[in-house]
Amino acid sequence: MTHTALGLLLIITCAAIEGLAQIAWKTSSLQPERKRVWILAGAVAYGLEIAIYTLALTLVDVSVAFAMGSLSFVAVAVLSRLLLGERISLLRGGGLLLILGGVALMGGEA
Amino acid sequence: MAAPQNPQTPGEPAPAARIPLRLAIGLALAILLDTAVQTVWKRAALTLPSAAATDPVGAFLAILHQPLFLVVGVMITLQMINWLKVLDDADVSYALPITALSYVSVAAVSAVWLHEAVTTGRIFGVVLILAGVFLVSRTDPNTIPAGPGEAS
Repeated sequence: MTHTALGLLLIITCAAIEGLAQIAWKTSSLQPERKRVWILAGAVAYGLEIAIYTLALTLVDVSVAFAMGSLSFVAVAVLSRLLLGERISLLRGGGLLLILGGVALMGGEA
Repeated sequence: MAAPQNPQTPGEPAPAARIPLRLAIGLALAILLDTAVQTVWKRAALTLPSAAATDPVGAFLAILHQPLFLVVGVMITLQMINWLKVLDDADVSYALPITALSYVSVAAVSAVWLHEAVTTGRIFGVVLILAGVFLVSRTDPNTIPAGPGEAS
């Protein structure tokens, strides 16, 4: 695997982790009785993401890595659809597709 | 003297509401901090051994010896404090797409300071992402009811 491919893989991993972290924090507001557990879970996920993103930055330009971080918007939407039952409207779906297109372009330019 | 109630002519879009100074400063600071965090983070990452990604333990020890990572940590903390202040004054669906402008400022600063390439593909990529973030922000922010104890 090339350095760039590994870097892109790490960035995609970061977006997935951020999606899970956001779901955990959203769940903390939906389940007040276990609020602290979910907030802690989200914070741990963010700590992991910071470590992985640092490694990604050793391999990929920051202008690409940061913009590709917007993949987390897509991860949040998909995970919150699957795990929380939030709806993805046509407009939101269209926006997410544009983000995906932009991220794919950035990835190709890494 | 009172300002005219309805200064725009029919058919013209309503003028944008004046942004309170505190919110404007908060949003500008959010973009500034985003840009500083990302570019300094990259600058710090460049000092790590080239095998960092395949040697996480070695990378962790190297991070402890690089004060720039401390600077990044402090700036991330300031960013979070500032962001919570911004959200006191504005909806997240309003604030988030504005701070997506950081994608442009990070690319600009990293081009000048870190000599990263600005290619046509990257510009188009950022434009698509900005358009996508804008569209997502125009959607209904709340599609599921809040949990017990949250409603008010």
